[in-house]
Amino acid sequence: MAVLDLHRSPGIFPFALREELHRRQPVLAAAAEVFLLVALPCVMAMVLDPRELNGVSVWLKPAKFAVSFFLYYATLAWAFGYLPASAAASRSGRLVVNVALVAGSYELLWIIAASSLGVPSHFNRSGVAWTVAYAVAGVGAMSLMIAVLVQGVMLARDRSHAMPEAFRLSWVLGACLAFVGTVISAGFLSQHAGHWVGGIASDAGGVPLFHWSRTGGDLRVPHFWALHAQQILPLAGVFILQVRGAPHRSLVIAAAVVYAGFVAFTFVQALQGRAFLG
Amino acid sequence: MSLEQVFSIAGGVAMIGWLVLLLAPAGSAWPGRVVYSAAVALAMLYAALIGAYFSRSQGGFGSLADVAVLFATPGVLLAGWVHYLVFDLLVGSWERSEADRLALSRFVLAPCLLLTFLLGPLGWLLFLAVRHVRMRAQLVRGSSPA
Repeated sequence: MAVLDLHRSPGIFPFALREELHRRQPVLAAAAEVFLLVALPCVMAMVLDPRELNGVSVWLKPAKFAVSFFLYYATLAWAFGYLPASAAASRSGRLVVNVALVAGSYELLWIIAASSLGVPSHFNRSGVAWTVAYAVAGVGAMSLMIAVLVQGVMLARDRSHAMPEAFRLSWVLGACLAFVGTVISAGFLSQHAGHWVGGIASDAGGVPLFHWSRTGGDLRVPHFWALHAQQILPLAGVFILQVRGAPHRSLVIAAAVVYAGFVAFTFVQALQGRAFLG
Repeated sequence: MSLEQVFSIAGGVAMIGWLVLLLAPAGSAWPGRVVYSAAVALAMLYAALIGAYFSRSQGGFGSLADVAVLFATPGVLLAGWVHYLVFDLLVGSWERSEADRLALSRFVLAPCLLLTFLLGPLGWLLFLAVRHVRMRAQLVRGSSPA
């Protein structure tokens, strides 16, 4: 498949995929692996540590964030494959790589530190240190999304890599939607007292794996879907290319509009105090 | 899962590493990978134990009495034990790779590994002594071609 360039690295699927990721951007690929591995001790600690926050293990959150960061870095690394080899070394390319690495590392370290102490990370404004740490994390989260947006702009401006324009558009729109959607949803979330709107203020009994509220609104839902536009729209792009064959820019734009509508819907749903999955 | 169970599992993982160090043939890559994987798994367990227990323990590193108080928390005591397991295994792994590099007999390496397994630093000192002699011997042989 020309779009994914998998023919370059024959082999068993996950290993071929890993090799390809490292070929595209070795630094971000390595970061993706490291962050995924961080989930392992978090899961072990989940078994060992009876402490809970919001009714779930204190180690659930770092484990979830580790997996999320794996996806984030892997997606950035993969997208560098659609840019010239020199792109990661250019000024904006270095900005993407370095900002993503520094901000992501801070974010996860902050969350792990809070979990090991059994205190909240987000919304923790107890004392100067945690208040400052949370504020810095806010800047870090914004920086993570800026990195996505800058890479999206790089993809939009580049004409050197031969790829269907519709597919390029799916990456660009994914980056833009992730940026705008996350800044709005996460920005609103951070101004709120917590992630629940109505319902029982506990993560226990929430949606499996995600622990989103099933009794009321949960502002993490639109945040999640907005953030992962970074992956979902390019996947939609692959799907459209596979099904339709020829490039269809209008289909990609339609997919982006529908997806943006879906994210907006989950946002309104959470604001109204209604559960995403009851 | 009880800490006793975790202790047993950690001991089992370390034992697999030591058996491979002691018995696996030289010249292939898999023994190194197995030992490394065992060490990484134990190091991750250490990280989990520290994350789970360290902030809730008393004591510190300032005096022997502080350290004794620190290790009075079973979770931290187990973390300390896993710390031994990981680093002893890594020292054993280094001894084996050095032995291969210097073409040292397995019969000389084995007692060093056993002593490292049982009494860590003592085994390492023994291996350093053996290694020192071996390297001098190679130097002598290398400088006077017969």
